[in-house]
Amino acid sequence: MITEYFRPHDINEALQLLKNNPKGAFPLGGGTVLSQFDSDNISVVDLQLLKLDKINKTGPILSWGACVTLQNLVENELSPQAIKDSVVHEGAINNRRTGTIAGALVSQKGVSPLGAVLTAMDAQVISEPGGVSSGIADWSKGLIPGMPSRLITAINVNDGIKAVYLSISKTPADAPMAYSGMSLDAAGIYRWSIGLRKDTGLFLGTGKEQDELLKNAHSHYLYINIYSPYLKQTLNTLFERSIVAIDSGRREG
Amino acid sequence: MNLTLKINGTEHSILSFPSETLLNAIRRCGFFGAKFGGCSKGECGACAVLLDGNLVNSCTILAAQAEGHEIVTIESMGEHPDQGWNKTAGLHIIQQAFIDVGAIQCGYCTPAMMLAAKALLEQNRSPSEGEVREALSGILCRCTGYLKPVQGVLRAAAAIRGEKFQTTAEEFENQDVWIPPAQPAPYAGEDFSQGVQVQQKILPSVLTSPEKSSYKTVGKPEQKVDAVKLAQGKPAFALDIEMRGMLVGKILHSPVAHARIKRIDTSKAKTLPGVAAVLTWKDIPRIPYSTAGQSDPIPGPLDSFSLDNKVRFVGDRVAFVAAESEEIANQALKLIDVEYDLLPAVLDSSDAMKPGAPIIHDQAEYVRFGDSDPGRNIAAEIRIDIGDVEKGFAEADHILEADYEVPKVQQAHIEPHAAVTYWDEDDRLVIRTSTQVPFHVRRILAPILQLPIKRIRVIKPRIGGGFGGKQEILMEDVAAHLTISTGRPVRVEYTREEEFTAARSRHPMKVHMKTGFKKDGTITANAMYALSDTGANGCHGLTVTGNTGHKAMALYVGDGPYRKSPNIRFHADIVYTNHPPAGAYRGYGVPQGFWPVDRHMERIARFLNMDPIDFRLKNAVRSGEIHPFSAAWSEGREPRPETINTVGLEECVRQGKAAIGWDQKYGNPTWHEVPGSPDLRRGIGIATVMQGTAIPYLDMGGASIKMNDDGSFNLLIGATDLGTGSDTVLAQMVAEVLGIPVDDLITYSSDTDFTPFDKGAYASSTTYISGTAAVKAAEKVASKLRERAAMILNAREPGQQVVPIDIQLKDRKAFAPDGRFVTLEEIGHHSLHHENQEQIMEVASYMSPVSPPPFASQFAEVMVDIKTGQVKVEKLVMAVDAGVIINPVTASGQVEGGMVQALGYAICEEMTYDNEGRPQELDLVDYHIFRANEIPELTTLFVETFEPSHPFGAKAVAEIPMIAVAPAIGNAIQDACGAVLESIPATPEKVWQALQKVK
Repeated sequence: MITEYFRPHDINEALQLLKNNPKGAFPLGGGTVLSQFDSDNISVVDLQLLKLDKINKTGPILSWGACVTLQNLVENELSPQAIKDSVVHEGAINNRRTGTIAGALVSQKGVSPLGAVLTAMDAQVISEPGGVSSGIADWSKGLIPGMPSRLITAINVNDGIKAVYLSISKTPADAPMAYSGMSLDAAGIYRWSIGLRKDTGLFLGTGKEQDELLKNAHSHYLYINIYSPYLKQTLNTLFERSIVAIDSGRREG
Repeated sequence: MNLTLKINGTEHSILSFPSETLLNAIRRCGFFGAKFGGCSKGECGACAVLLDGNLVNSCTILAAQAEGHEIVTIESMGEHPDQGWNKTAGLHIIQQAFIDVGAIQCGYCTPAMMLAAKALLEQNRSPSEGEVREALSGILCRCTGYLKPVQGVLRAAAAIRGEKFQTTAEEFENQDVWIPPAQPAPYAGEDFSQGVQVQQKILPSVLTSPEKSSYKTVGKPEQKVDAVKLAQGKPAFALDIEMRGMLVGKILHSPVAHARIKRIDTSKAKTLPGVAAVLTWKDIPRIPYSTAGQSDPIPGPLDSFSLDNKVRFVGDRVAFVAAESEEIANQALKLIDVEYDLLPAVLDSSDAMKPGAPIIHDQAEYVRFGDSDPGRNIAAEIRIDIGDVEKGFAEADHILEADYEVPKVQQAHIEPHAAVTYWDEDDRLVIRTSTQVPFHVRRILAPILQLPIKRIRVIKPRIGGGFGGKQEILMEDVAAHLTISTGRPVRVEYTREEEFTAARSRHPMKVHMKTGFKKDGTITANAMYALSDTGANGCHGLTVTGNTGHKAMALYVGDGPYRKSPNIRFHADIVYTNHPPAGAYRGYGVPQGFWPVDRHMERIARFLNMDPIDFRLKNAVRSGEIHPFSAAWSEGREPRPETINTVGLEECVRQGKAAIGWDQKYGNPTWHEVPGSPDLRRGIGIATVMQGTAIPYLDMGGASIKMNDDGSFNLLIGATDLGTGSDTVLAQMVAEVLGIPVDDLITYSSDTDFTPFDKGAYASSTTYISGTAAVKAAEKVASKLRERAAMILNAREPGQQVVPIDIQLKDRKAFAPDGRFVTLEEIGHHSLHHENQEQIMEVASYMSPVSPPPFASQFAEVMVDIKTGQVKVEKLVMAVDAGVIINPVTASGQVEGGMVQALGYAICEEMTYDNEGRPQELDLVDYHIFRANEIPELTTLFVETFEPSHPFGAKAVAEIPMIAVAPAIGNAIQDACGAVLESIPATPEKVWQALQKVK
């Protein structure tokens, strides 16, 4: 149960509030699942005054403030298409208008359609204090020291990376049962990030050639533990289609 | 904490608390247009408001977060134009457009939809259909299928742009008599990339019955009588009230599937400040009852208690709490200490009857009905044999046997179950509840509460959808027990999680079909065995499952000699398991029956290499024939043979075929391929179905009509409009008889103190049963009006005597044959004030001896990804014979909404459980129902017949759209890729597995 509400005016004040109660204070970006706070008495730190809702492009780096809403990601012309495609599977439009990019990542520990694409794009999580930049894969595995009292302030990607998002679901707007984000960077390295509905993690393959990429992904322990022939077949199909889509983009671009 | 919220331009200072949601705060401020959909993740959108111009869910935002922002609710949009001497600007264009196109059914999600439209149109006055659908996609609607709301937004946009367009009434006046569509041009490829195209025409195509031509009001697209208040978001629903001292009631639910309560300690909960009562099984009377809202005697076992010392499913009741706030009530639930003595559970219906299976109902108080046998976990069994089935099989050239399965699914009405109870000033218990069956609530609760019926009053306000889920006495007793215990008003409202764990659902069934047939396609014998999982209680178990056979197995009687003497068998076992109880759900057992029956027919036709439509029509029942089950079974009562007078099935097939272009697509290999997409295949399918209309010789409806001074009338009906528009349809029929516009009727439903008895809204009976009662009452009133008119006219001109029978009522007047008339206003004044004063008021009731079936053909087009099994439904066309259509807008709304609800049954909806009996779907994220931006093209056609047993020729329309979509899609998938599906939903994995068998 939420017992205290704070609306700090700057990041330092927010960090102080989070630091004062690292186990019982949570940053509040926008709309959220309030029922998650039913169990314990906690405080929330509302970030709405911190100006973390900006989208910037500096050189090849596209930077989304932590409080950029998911719907802004869909509507903003700078957003890569793969990001737009994945974000619509994060929730319905009303929730996307209040849900934020950082909130979506934190609440699902990065294991979601958007997380898959950001992982494939090797996104960087920027957090305070100190403006520390961490790879999203490490962040989602909980490898960043000092979390959760650190405050995510931005998510950065290299805009030069080509990416594609594909999924399989029962209906177009249903949460996908399998989804994949694949990227190809300027050095010719593919990264393929895959997730399953209600699963506990993403698994990732990297490689310069398709065979290497597939082999690396298949060697991941989460992939090995998929017992459903259907899901294995489906992931292979997503792989093949992602390669075609991304290579098609490479030829065009 | 003190907060100031700026709502609709006015600042409201409130005392809040940190965890309060914006939804709660704005409702406390009196803005009831924002609704609670029970969800915790914002998935339903009924609570949506505008925050700084953006549509957001107020249940996922803290009130504190909204301080300093502009909040706009539906109450700001517009209001009734005529407030007495205060003439207002009237309704907003969007509100008017929604009303005009019939976009409002139950109205629970309507405020959110209209705010979504407002936000969209303020930024974009010329949105595309896709943009409108996207804007509405954050709001779930279970009633409309989204077609009419989309049309409403597009119409509002046109109005804002200043364009001229026909209103629905003008469209009706100007429409040409519908000429059945000619055969479309040969298939020349279609561009599916454009998405669905909304019909510009609001009205469905109606192939009109000739008897209808003289009607003035019946058959017209009259505006729904409750539309204006729902468009304004008025506080019309069960919990849209405030009462001093009202407590919040909550239920502690069982975490285990089967156990005895060994010990329960409520002492800590009772001492929590703010807790007013904690009740366990030890505190209240132990009265066995059935929660099924059905007429007396309940056709099922009495196997429920308000609270028991045993739990039978995860979600079963353990204790009730009443507290000053929801937060305190929830805290108190956590403080109740329960020790369970775990028992083995039955979690597969196939295990329920096995020797040694755990017995779920071993209580001495169990009251059997019919063949129920709790010692074998049998809630009911059905054995119906018509003709000589074994002889029929012996005469067959071929026999096809197969097994089918249909899932447990949830009604998912957007308004959760909700009730408020309180003692009134006369010490009578008032129950204000969102129910389909107010009179059954009163009758069934009386013994449980140990109150006589006369000391209970049930008020049914507007209902935010029901679909059978509210044909149940589900939680009214919880609030009532807590009011009795505390003496204070109590409100109880289910969360969405409770809807999934502790409400009702469709009965899942395992079905075996065996059909004998000749080489020429004649069916010689047809047999079905259904194993029906009623869950932990037998509510509706017998009647739902009986309907599975009674309707689905009645359609195909065979041809030739078999037509006169069909051989049909329907056997069923309805078994208890430790799943949540099943119950009534739109279609009431028939969707479960037609999935196996129609899929089986499709497979037989394909086996015989016959045209699947020819095969169906060859064997289908025809007009003038006896309903084969009518002489064999009647829900445990004496069966009486019924002749089916009207069967429009063949014409439905003809019209549906033309509308979807069947002849150009079926069997056309070119059409089945998708150029440029080697993994995609198109398919087309049909299903033909029948339903019933009301329950003969049992269910009764009543209506009363009272005249006022100004020539208006109060129409009081016990029937319960749960968003379907039945209040409007009944008013139209009464208006037709009285010669008045619908606007002269003040229609009210329902209140057990003031409205006549009605069995309630179920069994597709309101238009037919309650409507006939209303017409009978109107005819009695009309007779009084004629007498009074003759009295007045004869007194005015004694030389020109007129007799009442010659007087015609029309245009708010009573006309003598020579053209003289007296207005109804004059009659009203005369009867109440001037001479031989009397209150013109009549009441009538009706019970039907027959249940005339509606018929329909359902067509579906699909696209299948043969690599992944993913299915996209592209088109649904339904042609329905529901007799005469009383209101084409409300009727087509029923068909569109029903088709989309059925689409979920076909494609994505399923309630599943783990091996401990714990439900896996607890919200409308994991249990996905279709959203506005993923709906296939929908087409509704009405093929009218004139049913002679109804005064205006009507049959039922509300349930039949739920029945045929799944088999039509299953057949279309088979047509696309050869995958033979035997169970639904047609998930990608299931289709892929079926494809592996083809390979």
